[in-house]
Amino acid sequence: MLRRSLSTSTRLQGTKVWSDLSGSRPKSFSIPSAQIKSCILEGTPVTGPPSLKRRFNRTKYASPEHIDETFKLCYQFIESKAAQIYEKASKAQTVEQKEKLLAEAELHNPEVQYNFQYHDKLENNPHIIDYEQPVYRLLGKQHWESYGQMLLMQRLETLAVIPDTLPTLAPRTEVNIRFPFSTGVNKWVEPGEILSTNATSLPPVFKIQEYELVDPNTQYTILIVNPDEPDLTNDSFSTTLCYGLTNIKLSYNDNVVDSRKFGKTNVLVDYLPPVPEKNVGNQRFAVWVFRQRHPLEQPSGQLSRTNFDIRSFAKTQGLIPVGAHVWRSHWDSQVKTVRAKYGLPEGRIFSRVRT
Amino acid sequence: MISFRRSLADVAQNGSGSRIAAGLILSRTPIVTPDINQLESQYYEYQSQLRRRLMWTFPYYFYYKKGTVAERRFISAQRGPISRQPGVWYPKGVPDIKHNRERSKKQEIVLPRENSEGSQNDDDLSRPIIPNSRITQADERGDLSSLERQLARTLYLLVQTDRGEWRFPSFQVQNDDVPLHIRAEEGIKELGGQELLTWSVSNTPAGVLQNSNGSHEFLMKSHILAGKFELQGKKNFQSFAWLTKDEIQRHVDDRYFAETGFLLADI
Amino acid sequence: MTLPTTITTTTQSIKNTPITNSLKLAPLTLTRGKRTKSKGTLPPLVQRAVTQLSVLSASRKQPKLLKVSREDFIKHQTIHHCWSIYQKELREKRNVQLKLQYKSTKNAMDILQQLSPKMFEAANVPEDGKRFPMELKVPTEFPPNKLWNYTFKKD
Repeated sequence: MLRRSLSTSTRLQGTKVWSDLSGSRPKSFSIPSAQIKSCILEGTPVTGPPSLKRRFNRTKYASPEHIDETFKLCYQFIESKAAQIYEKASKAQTVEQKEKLLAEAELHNPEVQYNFQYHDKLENNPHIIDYEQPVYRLLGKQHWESYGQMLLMQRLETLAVIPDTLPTLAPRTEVNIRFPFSTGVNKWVEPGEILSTNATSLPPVFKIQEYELVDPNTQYTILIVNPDEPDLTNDSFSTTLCYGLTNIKLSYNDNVVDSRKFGKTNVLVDYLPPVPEKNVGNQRFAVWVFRQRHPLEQPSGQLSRTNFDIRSFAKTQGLIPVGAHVWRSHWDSQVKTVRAKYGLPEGRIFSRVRT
Repeated sequence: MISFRRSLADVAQNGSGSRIAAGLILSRTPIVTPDINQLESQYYEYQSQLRRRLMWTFPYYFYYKKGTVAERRFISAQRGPISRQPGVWYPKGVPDIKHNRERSKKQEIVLPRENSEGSQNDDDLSRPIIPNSRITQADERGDLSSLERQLARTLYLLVQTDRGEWRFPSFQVQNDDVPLHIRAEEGIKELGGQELLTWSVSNTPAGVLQNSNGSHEFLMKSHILAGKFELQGKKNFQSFAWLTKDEIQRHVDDRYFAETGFLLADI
Repeated sequence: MTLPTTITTTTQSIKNTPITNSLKLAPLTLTRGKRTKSKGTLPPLVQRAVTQLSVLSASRKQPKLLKVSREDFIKHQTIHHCWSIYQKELREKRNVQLKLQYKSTKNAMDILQQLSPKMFEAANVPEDGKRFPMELKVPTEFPPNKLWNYTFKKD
């Protein structure tokens, strides 16, 4: 019985890195509800698991047999491994190595897992899911890669946003957009969705979530371009710049870019809402998020909306594309009001020409 | 290394002028399954309970023919589930019974006892099954020279030289024509008696030990399958022992263990 | 116009013929206590096949879906993380040992080749068709009555 005894775990029994009560651990590493925490760590109470709301369901509930004893033993085992990893992390040479080890040490902590799995990951509460912590960034990245990132890339490719705007994208940050509630669509927009022009009549709010270890002073540029503006002279399409923000600072938790986050100096180009002309079909509005190598100067006056070349712009300014998003619009009954609101001329009406 | 010094005269000189010996790591494979630690036993228990909960209902009608005495005995031995009655309040949920099994719980099967309790007769097939102990008399006596000790572990044969050092037995190679594994087998029979059944794992040596005087000892692996190992005359080695890997570490010096330890099984 | 006439003639013929030959009504006799449904009349071989098939079938045998609370699900995940870490450690340890063993064998063979080419050849002979001996036993949970065969006699 003592052959392959848990020698390491018994040796490190004293080092309780997870259940440290000295208060030095971040608040986000523990479950906010004391009842649920004790149910997980100390075993299900006689009254049943507190996460079930109805009393009837709680009394009816039966846990799998031996789960509490087995859990306690396993918790000790993983905790002792985590202590070893923390020790290694304290001796790590580079910042990246340390980040990786710190994430690894907390990855299997049941409290961290509970917090991450059962709370909102997009609109996160920093006391529960704190993206400043390497482990939550790792979990967030895994979660994003499991669905959101794939969906985004599929939409970008099938809608030919890449290569129509920029040649390609290596996605590194999660970008989500939503439009102000007053316009009617109160949700985070799925990439590629067709939105009514009324919904998009006000500038969107961006949420740019970094999962990598980045310099906290990094600034971001956001561009919205419409590559589907009809160009009759060339019998083709041209790209229009709809919105441009620059020199925006973000942090891991405070990363919603709305009007509170930037001033006049950050605005490269004011918001031009999507107002597709009749019979042009769906127009794509590609959101591009860039990391900046250096602060951008205000090139006001020179930057023209029409015939905007996003590739050369990104190249000359040294911008690194890290994230993207896309939505689509087409002509609808609201276009007229939106045009009137922004003082735009009446749109053209296209019709088929028989040849 | 006493054995080398002794046999300097009768050792065949190889082409290069160095001497070769065939060492033998003779092992007794485990007789019982390995002991499991607390984590393993707890995990297996948890998994087995989960599996029982998710198992299909036992189809007793396949094993007991309808209308037989055996079927009646089987059914009467079962502790039936709580049945569903109209107008009754069930705090643990309304019973959902199919084929005499509560579907939300694991099914506990009770086999009717057919043991004749008092029977000690070995020929009686219905005698109760009493497993033998995994700890043998040799373990209790602490008899290192017994093959019946430490049934769950692999045991290795170690011999003690006149100087009191413990090492794997080794035999000088007299003649180039005899392959190493055959020389090792011959040697062990000269050492421990002809009535030994061994099985050499491979022709290829598993390792080599280089001595300071330029001689090489090639370690061959072999299993002992039957027969009693007894030292035939104590001229080279004073005693022998069957030891597990941990015990070998305690018996031999650290350098020797560093060179051979990884060749031995942990279980 | 032969076709419609033939049709009319056939319909007429159907009308005219009495229905007795197509639907013969058996005289209904009600007997009290008589078994009306056939019960257990499957031939024994068929009955056996039905039983055997129903053993394999999931119908009426599957338990309810296992639903666990959030807490228990986290506990379950932790147990499995722990197990995979533990298995990974064992696996890594085993791989290190295997690598050492391979290196050691290679080293031994290299030295043997220098010392004695003849023995090197002998140690390198392919061992096709080599089998485990009959006497080698698989470990069991509890030991047998006779632990070791001491009285081995060479034939």
